[in-house]
Amino acid sequence: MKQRKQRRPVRQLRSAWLLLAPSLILYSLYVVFPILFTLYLSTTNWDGLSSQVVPMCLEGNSADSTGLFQVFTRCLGNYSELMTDPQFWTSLKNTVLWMIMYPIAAVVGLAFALFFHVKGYLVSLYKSLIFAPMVLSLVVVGTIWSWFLQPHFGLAEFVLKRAGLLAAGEEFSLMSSFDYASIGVIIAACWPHAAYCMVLYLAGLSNLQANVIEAARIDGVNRWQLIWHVIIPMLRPATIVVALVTFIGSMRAFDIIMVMTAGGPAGSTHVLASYMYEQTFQSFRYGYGAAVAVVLFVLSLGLIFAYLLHESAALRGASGKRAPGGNDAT
Amino acid sequence: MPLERRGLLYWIFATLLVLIWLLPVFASVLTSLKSLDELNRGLYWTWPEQLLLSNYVEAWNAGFAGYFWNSVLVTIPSLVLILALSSLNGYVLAQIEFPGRTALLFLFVAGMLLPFQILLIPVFYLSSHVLHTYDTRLGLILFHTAFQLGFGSFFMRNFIVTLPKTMIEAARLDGCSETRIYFRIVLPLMKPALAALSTLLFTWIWNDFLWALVLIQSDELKPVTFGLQNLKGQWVSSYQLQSAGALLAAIPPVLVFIVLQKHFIKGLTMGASK
Repeated sequence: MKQRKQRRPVRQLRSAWLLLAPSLILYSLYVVFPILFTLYLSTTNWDGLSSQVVPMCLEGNSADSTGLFQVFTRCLGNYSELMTDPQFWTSLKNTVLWMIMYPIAAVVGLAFALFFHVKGYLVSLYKSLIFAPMVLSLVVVGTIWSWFLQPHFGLAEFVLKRAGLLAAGEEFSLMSSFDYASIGVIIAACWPHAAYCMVLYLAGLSNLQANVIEAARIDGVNRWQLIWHVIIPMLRPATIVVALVTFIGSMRAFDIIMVMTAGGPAGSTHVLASYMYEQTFQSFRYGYGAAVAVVLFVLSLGLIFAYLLHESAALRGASGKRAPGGNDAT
Repeated sequence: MPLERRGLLYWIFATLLVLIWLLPVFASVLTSLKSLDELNRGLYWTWPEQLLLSNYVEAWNAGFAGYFWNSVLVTIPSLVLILALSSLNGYVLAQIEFPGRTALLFLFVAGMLLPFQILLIPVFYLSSHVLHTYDTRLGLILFHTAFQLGFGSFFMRNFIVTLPKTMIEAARLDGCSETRIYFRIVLPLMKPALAALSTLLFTWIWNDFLWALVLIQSDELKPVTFGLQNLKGQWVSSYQLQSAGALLAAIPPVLVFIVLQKHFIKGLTMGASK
């Protein structure tokens, strides 16, 4: 008995790492190492072909340069170039625009969830129909919406004209406008994402405690007060997840931009992710692209840390052998 | 939440909402059934003179068949690999205590939150200069597997953590090895989680565009999303073909969703709420 007790942890430990090994190798190769390598690449002028990847400041004759500080700043050449690159600022501005506008999908999703939180076969069918865009590829969503929003022929223009919202001679020129084309793309992207948020909120709604709502009803609270003061606060866990996926989604936006505008007209719809792609794989400036990627990474770090901090109590608590009483969240 | 019966007004409004919501899809379906001749005469939003399926046939013959097959050959192996590895990881992370476990879990979660574009250039470098898997299906499969391990392991771990620990402890006391416990006890209990995870992964990998764009070059290897985007270049003003192609590309995930909707929804919400 004693012997066994001593041996078991060692055996467990060994099998734990053994079982994890294949995943860890793959994961470090494709996820962990690339993060570090992007940081490194952003100090280079790599063209994507040469097998040597050297930081700018260590290239060729620059080695005989004077101070350490100058060497260091030359390594950050890509970043100082970013500062004066108007296309970079446009892309950054659009990424921020995505972060601000993409949450509209969450609001729509919540409204839909509240509206369709009803039992019945017909409602199930309706819900499935509203969910459907969620499983479409963004390439498909982009194609469908490009056609929908087309000036002259698009159904959107047709409907707007019929409804009298657009004068007969006018053209629905959302997608060719420098200022508003991004908004068209974001609306298209919100379409599947709202369905996703709706699913998350519906799950949240079905977890609510009926007695609290019943109690509020008995107290004579009207429908809007009930939603605003009782239901929405109780949906907090769902809201946290929705906020998370919305925020990540807005930073990952890429496919739909490539499909709908490819960054155009004249670069006005580029976001950091798509600008990075363009610089890297179309202009073959891998180092510069990496610098753009680093900026995107820094933007997302705040989110990752906030989430891990929020989760750390739960993750440790649920996996460790904690006393039931000691479950305080800190 | 009490669910009272709704009146007629509710149903009218709900029906209207669904119709408006799907308006972009109707536009595509309608267009895909029309002839080019009809579109050229400016009859965009009238009922088709005759319901044509020839656009679908033409789109299919323009290369879709091959693209479909490529998508299958990437999606299915990735799916199998991810399910196998992430359920193993999930088991280890949930049921074995070892130093560094929390840190590992954090690593997986952090990877799942990344804007994955920051991996783009290094993964391209890795595939083209180190592993020489650039422009092969294997390269794409390896990437998908590695990247989805973050979400998969987290998802599986959250499911396995809810399994009764006493059962596993008992097996250990009887001298059962960890691998045996995993295969004999845990795996059979994981079926619902595996079903949910696989529907999610299927849609995500099938719908991927970015990574195919970066890791695949040959037309013979392109998956359906990339293929569609390619063909759109040839069909610049043939909207009936573009629409037919887009709808064809949407069929597999929509089918999966219709057939496995329960698992899909459960997966989304399980992954979301621990």
